[in-house]
Amino acid sequence: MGGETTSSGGASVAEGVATARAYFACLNADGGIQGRPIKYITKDDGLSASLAASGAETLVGDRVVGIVGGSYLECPVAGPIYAKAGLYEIEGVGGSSSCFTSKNIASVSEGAPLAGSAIAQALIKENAKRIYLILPNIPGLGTALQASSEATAKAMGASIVGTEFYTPGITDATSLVLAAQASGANGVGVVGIKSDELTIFAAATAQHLTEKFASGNQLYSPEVPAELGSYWDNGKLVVQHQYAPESAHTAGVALWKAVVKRYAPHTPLDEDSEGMFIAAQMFSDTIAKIKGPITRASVRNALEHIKDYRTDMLCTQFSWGKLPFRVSNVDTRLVTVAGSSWKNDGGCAHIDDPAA
Amino acid sequence: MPDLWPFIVSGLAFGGVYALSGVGLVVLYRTTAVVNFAYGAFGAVAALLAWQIMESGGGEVTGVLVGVAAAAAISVTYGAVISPRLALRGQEIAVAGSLGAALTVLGMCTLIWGDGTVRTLNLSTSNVSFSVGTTVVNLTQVLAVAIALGVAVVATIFLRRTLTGTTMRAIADDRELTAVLGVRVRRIEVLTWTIVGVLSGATGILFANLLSLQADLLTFLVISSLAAAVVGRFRSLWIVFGGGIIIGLLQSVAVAFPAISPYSDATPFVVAAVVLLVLDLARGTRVRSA
Repeated sequence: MGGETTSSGGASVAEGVATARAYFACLNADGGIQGRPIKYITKDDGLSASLAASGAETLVGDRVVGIVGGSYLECPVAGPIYAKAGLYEIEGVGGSSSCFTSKNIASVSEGAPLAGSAIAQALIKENAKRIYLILPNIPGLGTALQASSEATAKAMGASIVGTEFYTPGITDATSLVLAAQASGANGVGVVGIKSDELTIFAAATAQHLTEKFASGNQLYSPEVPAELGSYWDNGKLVVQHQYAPESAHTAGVALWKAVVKRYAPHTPLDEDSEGMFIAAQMFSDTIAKIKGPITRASVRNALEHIKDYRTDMLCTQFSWGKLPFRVSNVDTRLVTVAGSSWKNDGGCAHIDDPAA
Repeated sequence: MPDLWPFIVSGLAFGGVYALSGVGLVVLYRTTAVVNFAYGAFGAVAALLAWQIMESGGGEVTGVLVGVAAAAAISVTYGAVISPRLALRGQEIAVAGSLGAALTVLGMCTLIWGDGTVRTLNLSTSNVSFSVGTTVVNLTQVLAVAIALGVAVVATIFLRRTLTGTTMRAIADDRELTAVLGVRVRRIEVLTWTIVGVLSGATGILFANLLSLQADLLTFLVISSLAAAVVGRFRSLWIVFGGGIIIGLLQSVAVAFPAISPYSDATPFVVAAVVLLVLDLARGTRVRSA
């Protein structure tokens, strides 16, 4: 099996793929699928379209039967190459729009469109009607976040007063937060990879910004509350977390933590890790039911028939769904900072999609 | 027209980043004729080691000192063992070699600390802050500018007025001839790389606090910092310092204008390109009128 990841180029979701690799290692220790071990081949796209394309071509040539992927460019760049070769994918990280409009890809993530809507909704719920967005300049992701935030704000009587796109590997976060402050916004939505978001929040802390903040899923990780500091306690920051918290006492979360501890012990238990675990588990459970040879065709058939896959790590059951826009994960959790841990009082919250 | 004052204040502080890195690069260039692409990588090692020691309870002062010492040690090792051999092959080889060193050191950092855990390097100087208008500036930012200015002053005087400084410049001009004249070239080179190693270590620790503690970010910041060195034509430390401040200022102010803010990260390269064009035109004019 194959998958692309972004491990360099200014962004990194490598811990997600490390978790998928850990899951397959655990599965292999238990006999693999149909008695055969899984060989998981990954390529780093380096946030470069040309590397993403060449990586995808290599995976096609390596005769992988399916893809469990986790990179920002996998859907828009690698996806069409997979489709041409009859390869189907469950995507665990990334979430650009093309992950939900491609015939051969389904994402466990809520994706950029719903993430943008969720950020706007979270801020409006906190009485922030003038919203400023700080978004990553990643193809297919930044503009999708902006569009869905704008649509949701408009539908709920709020407005997006400005948007700033930054290049991942941010250097001047202070200017970004000053621009947000200068816009007259009373709510700021921030999306990006964890390290960039922490840099932005450090700058916001230094500048003593008093606006309400909301963040995307990437910020969710056990070590982040302590890194953010007490400035963000008491509801000043709302963070999305679309999967079950690592503190949850459920069978799925326990297995995830055990697999990571045993096979990828240095991997943080964050959003990317959990997303790729769910993707790897769902893919494996699905193809394990194939009667007969596991080929690209049989994998395609099995994935297309995923319906109501149940896992306690998602708020909703997962189905492959239908085009033109296929998103299964439509609920999220909104958590706040409480000292050195996250606090979630509300459980799962539905994300209203104005486009629906 | 947006209120630019907060961006100007922030940009001046941010310009210290480019000024400090640019000054360090040019100090080494003027004394070894090597553009050291590994400057940022050595700094990344210093920052990560300092973080590791502080996380283990070793204290901020110990962490900073050990980090800086480690950067100096790696710099000296490279400068004493590898760089002279590459210098014999030509300047282009020496520059390419420093890029190789940068990637090797970055690889080591990734191997040791690249597990995806997000780290922040907290310095006590960042807890001391004051407001300039509506913008908050902290002591670390002021230190970056002050150290850059201090290094520019001291290095300029040292290189011009002292025998060792003159020797360093002679080695940069013609290493072999300087050796033939009886100068202990290796000893001077070790001293040079030690000084630059200390500077890169201090720079890396400051940047890790001001920006982010990520090995790849700190390593490749040297590329943007080259713009400041280009502005100073790899010669005048004063102009490098001023150029770095101006680049930081322009990059920050660019964010205030939505039409160009997505391209603000290109500011160092645009400035370098414009300066090179202007210098080239000026040289052409002087040749024609001569």
